[in-house]
Amino acid sequence: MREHFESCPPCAAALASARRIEAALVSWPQASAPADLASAVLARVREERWTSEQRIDRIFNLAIAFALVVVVGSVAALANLGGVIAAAEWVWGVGAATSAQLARQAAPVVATYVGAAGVLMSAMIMWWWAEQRLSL
Amino acid sequence: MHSDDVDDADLVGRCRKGDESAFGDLVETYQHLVYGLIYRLAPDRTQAGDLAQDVFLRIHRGLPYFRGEARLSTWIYRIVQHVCFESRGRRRATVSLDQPLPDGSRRPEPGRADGAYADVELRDRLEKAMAKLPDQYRFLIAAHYLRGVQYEALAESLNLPLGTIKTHLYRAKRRLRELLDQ
Repeated sequence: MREHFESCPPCAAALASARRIEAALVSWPQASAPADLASAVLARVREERWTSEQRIDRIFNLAIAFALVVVVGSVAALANLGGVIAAAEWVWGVGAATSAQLARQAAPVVATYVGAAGVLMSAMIMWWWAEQRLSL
Repeated sequence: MHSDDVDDADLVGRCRKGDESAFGDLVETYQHLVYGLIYRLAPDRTQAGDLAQDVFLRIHRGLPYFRGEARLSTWIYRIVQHVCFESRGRRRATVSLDQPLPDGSRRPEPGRADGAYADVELRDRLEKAMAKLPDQYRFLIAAHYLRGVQYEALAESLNLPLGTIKTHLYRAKRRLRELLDQ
């Protein structure tokens, strides 16, 4: 092999080039992280945790407000049970009539909507699959 | 089990319990490896610090789900790879001639005819050729020539057999040589 390289200028040049590239890669300078990287990361972690806690607090406050409304509403309803039952029956009647009317109107085009939803769903699944493949 | 694995398992356990100083230790331990790798892979090196922060944030978010089946470093390489590829997708590579070299030195005047200039010139061309390599090849070369990264860890992080990694690395170097010869 060595004899061949000595007698073949193209191969010798290729070998020299490969060695130079290898040497350049081996001596590629190692970049050191900035001195403040760790503190910056910890600051972002704290910020993220704070944001997440704020979100949880907001959800908790909303839940409490909702519970309060339910309790107050229930107490008020108990004070006037007959009126509440009449109102509930009226709401139920209106809801049932509206649903029946909507169902009658939608019946002829249900197949089209189901087909379109199927096509859209297939496209979404294919897109998701392609994204997964590309991100590997 | 390797002693580093034991240390990592302990570190991960403490992080999971919400020990902030443990996560600080984790960042201190891996920051140079993560930053060094990103510095070689990121299309825009001025973003390397931000990308390194993103990597550690993802590590922090993912630690509760890290089951310890792979080594911590392997998992981190995988995150670095994803973050860099995503960033590359957002912005194509640009290697500016005005950009300082990785070791902080300035590019020498082209008229200078000394050995150092030839080395710097080769490194410059090498970096441009690296930027043109396919993502996986670039990751392999950047990681392989970074101190402390083993073939086994690369194989694990890329979910490929060891032999395939060696073959890919050979092909990556061959492609790099072709790009340099163009």
